[in-house]
Amino acid sequence: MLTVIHIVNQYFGGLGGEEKAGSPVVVVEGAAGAARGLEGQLGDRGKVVATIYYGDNYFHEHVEEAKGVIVREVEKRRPDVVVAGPAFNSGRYGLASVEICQAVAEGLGIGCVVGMDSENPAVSAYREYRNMRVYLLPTAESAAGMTKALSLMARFAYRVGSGAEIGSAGEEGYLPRGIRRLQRTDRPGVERAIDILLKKVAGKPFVTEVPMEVWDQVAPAAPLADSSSATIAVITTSGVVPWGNPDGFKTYRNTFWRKYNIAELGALEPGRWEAVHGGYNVSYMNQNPHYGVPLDALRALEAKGKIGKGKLYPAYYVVPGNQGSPSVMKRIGQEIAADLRKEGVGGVLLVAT
Amino acid sequence: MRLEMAEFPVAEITLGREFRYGSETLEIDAGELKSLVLQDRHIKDASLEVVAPGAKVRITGIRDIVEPRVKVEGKGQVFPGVLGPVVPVGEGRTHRLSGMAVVTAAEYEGTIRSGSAAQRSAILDMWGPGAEASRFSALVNLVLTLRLAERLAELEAHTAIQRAECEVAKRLAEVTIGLKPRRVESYELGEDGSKLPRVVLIQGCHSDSHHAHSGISYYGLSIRDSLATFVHPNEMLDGAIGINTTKAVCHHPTTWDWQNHPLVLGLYRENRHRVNFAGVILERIRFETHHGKEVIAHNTAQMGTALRADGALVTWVGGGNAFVDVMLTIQACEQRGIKTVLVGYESGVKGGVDAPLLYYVPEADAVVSTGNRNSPIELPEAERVVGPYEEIQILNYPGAPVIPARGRVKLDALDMIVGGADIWGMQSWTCRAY
Repeated sequence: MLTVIHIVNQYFGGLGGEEKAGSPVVVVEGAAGAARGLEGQLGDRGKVVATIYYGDNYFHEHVEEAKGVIVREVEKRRPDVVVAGPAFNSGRYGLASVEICQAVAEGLGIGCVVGMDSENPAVSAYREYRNMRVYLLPTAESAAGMTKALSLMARFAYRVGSGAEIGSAGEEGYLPRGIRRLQRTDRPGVERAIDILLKKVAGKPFVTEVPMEVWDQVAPAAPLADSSSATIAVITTSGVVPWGNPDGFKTYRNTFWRKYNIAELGALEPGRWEAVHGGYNVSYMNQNPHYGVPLDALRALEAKGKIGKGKLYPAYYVVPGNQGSPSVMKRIGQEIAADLRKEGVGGVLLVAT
Repeated sequence: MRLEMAEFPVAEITLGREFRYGSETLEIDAGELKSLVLQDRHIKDASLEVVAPGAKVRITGIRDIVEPRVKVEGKGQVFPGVLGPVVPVGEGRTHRLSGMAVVTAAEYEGTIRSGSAAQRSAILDMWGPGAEASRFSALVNLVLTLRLAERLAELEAHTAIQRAECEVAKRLAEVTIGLKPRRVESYELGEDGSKLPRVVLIQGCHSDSHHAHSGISYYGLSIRDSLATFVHPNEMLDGAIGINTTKAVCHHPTTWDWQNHPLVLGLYRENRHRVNFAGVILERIRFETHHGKEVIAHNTAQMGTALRADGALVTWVGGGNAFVDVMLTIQACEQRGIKTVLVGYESGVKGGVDAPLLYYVPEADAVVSTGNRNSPIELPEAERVVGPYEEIQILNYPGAPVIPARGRVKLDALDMIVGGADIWGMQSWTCRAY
C-alpha cells in the first residue's frame, strides 16, 4: 500500500478560514480535513500517513521557513508521493502548493501531484520550475469540484507513487510544463497531416501537435529629448567582429555577447573586421562592415553635433543573432541592458540583420 | 500528365567489372563510373565504396544524396537542365533503383569563410544513434568520393559535384532498361469535377537570391526572387528540382528528398480516395523585408485560390527568417478560406524548453511536428571512416577546432547529420509536451 502525505492550507486542514490564515505549519498524523476525502478516493491503494497544513498568510510571510519545516516533516516520513491542494482558483493557496511541491521534489526527489484550476496564476510558477517530478492536474474553479478533483488526484498520485512511467501531458491529462521531447509515434508525419487536414476541411474537431504561443510585445522607449547630450551606443546582431573572430563566436546559436573598442576609430576598415553569422551572405558585410556597425555615419553625426562630442560610447555591443534561442537572447538582452545602464548610456542604435 | 514509376529494389551492391541487376543485387562497373566522372576536368579523382546499413561506418564530407533513376518512356530525361536540355519531364515511364542511394562526398574549403554562402558538409552514421536519427542510414549507400581541382569557386564546385552524382545515378539506373520491375506506381493529379477536397502542397523554399547558387533550382536554374510558381509533382519525381551541392545540413533537403518528397507521395497515395491532389505551389521564401514577406504570402494564397484549393499542406526549407514567410502564408490562405496544416520540425533548444517554433500567427491552428532539429546527440566511435575527411569541424565558424572523424562525436544539434531533421514528415518523429 502506497504512503501519501497530503499538504493543504489551514482551511482545508480543518482549522478555519481567514481568521486562522496566520497559523504556522501543523502536522497531523494520518488523514485530517480534505485528506480524509483523498484517503477515501485512494481506497485500498494508498494511505495518508500525515496531513500537513499551514496558514495562507503565514506561508507567504515566511516562505523559506515554512518550506523548510514542511520538507523536514516529509523527509522524516519518506512517503511514496506528496499531494498538494486542490487549490481551485485561489492564487495564494495555488502558489504555496506549487512552491511546496517544488521544494519537496527538488530536495527529496519525491514525486508530487498538485491540483488547481488551469487559470490559477500559480500555473505560471509551475511552468517556470519545469520540474519533471511535479504534476499539476487541472481541476474546477471552486470547491464544488472537490470530490472530482480528489478522485483525479488520487488516481494520478497512485501512478506517480508506484513508479509508473508517466507519458506526455496530452496523454496523461496534466498541464504541460513547457518541456517538449523528441519521440517516435506510430505513424509518419505525412499521414498525420493529411488526417488533420481532412478533418479541418470537413469542419470536424482536430488537435494540433504544436499549440500556438503568444509572445511578449516590447514597447519601444520614448525618443531622446536631446540626442546631443546623451551617450549613444551601438548594438548589432550582425556578427561583425574583429578579423579572426578573437572570442570564437559561432555562426549560429550563440550564448554570449561582447564589446569591441571603436574609441580611436573614424571608420571600420574592410579586412580588419569580419561578420560571423550563418544566416545571411556575409560577403557584403565583410566588404563594408558599416552595414552592421555604421561608425562612419555616427562620426559624421558627431561632427555635425547631432551626437555630442565624445558622446559616442567607445565600444559597440555584438552577438551574431542567427538561430538565437528566445530565452538565451532574452538573457543576453538583459545583460547588455544592464551594462548600458551601468555605463550611463542614454540611447542605443540597434542594428539588426 | 501521367508518370509511371517502375521500382527495382536494391538490397546489395557489389563493385565489379560490369553493370548487372538481378535478385535485388546491383553489380557496378566501378571503372566505367570513375571514367564517366573524370570526364569533368574539375574532378581530379574519384573513388567508390559500398556502405550497408548497420555497418559501424561514418561517412564524412557529404554534399548530396541522389536516387538512381532513368526515363525509359516520355519526353526528356531525368535531372533536366542539369544533365540534358530543358525538356519538360514528368510524363511517361521512369525506372528507379529503390533502397539505395548515391552519397556524394567531397573535400571542399570554398572561397567564402562564413555566412550563409559558406560551404558545409554533413556526416552520416550507418549504425547506432546517428543511424536512428537519419532516414539515409536505412539505404544501401554507394559513396562517391570526389577530389575536386584546387581553388574552385563555389558555383564551379557545385556544378562538378552535381553533374557527377547525377551522371552516376542515371548510369546506374540504366542497368534496369528492358528488365521487369518489382512494381509500378502510377502518378496523375486529381480529376476535374471530383467531389473530394482539392488539396495543394505549398512548398516554401528558402533561396539566397544573391548567392552564386540560390540553394534551389528548377530545371537547373537557381530560383531567386521569384513569386509563387506552379510545379507538377511529377517533375519533382523526375529530378527537375536540384539543390546547392556545396552545402549539406540536416534541415535542407537532398536531391533524394526532392525525388522522394513524402508529402507529394502521401498526397498521391490518398489521391482519388480521400483527396483530389491539385499540385504543388513552389513558394520562394526568406524575403529580406516584411513587405516582401507580405507580398509572397498574398501571392501564394492567391495561387491557391486560383487552383480552387480547399486545403493545403504547408511545409518549407529554411531557417527562422524564412519561417516568418511561411506563417504569413498560412495566415493569408486561412483568410481566403483555404484550410492549412503546417508540417515541419521544431527549433526549441535547451532540452525542448524554449518556444518550439520561431514565429506564430493565430491562424496556424493545425501543426504536425516532425521532431526537433536542436536535439543533442552523442555518436560513438566508428570502426571505419568513409569519405574525404579524417578530421571534421563540428562548429561552422572561422577557426573552429577540428576533431578526429572516427572518434566519439558530441553534437548539440542534428545540423551536421544529413537527414537528421525529418523536414517533410517522412518518418514518425514528433515532439510531445511534458
